[in-house]
Amino acid sequence: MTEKTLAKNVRYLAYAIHAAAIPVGIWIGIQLYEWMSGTEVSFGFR
Amino acid sequence: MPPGTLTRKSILTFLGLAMSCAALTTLFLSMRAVMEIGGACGSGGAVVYRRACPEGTGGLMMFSIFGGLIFLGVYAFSTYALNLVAFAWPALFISLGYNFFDYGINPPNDDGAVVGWLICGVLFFLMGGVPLAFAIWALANRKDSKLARAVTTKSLDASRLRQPLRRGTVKPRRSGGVATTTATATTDAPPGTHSWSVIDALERLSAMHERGELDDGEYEAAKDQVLADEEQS
Repeated sequence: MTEKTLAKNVRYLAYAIHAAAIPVGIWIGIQLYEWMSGTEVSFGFR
Repeated sequence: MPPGTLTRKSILTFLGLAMSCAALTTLFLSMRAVMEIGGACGSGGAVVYRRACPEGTGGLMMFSIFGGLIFLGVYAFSTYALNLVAFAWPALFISLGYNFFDYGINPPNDDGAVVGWLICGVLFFLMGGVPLAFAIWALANRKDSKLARAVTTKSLDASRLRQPLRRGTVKPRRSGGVATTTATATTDAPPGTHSWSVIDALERLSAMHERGELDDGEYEAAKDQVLADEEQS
């Protein structure tokens, strides 16, 4: 694998980590809130 | 980047960003829970409060603020190739501003719009929206993504600059607000003035080479091209 390809793969890995971390983080936040508050989060307009 | 470092940075990046998003989510939801009961509450201590806080919101707020800052720091120091730290501020203020607008327009007690919350909403949207617009504008006006990234990497040292220019000692000098570099002639080379753009280009090429975006051949060819252009001008 050339250095150029390796650098590109590292960049793609970084993008994938970011793309995965954001929804996972939001899901963790919702689970944490539901667990701590004893309520259920619903989606949609009030 | 060695494989061990890459693995460590990847894990910390994921952990830092995910937990920062979790903190922001809990803050958003906790704020909504407090606004649902009128926007103010209290709990703890020897005082009897008129409105107790919803269950768990005290702890969640503490986690959101301090945990969020700590995890954002972890993310900022470990991320590579992409950095979203600048978007944390707009995300915080725009999401909380949305809550102010939502409950300001449609408050829980159905008494009509709450002007105070709407003013807070406008302020929060401005505080988040202006930096966001600036960040997007800056991102859209980058000349070249690879070059822009390379600028942020470490600079080329002076010894490497002297070698390709072949005109004696290079002395960067700034005068009258315009940056110039004078090549002092120590040989029979004619005296001339190099613009910073040549040095910038060499620095960027060197950084790209160090990052592995250019192999040795491409780097040497690009460097020769830059120097040849400079000689002609």
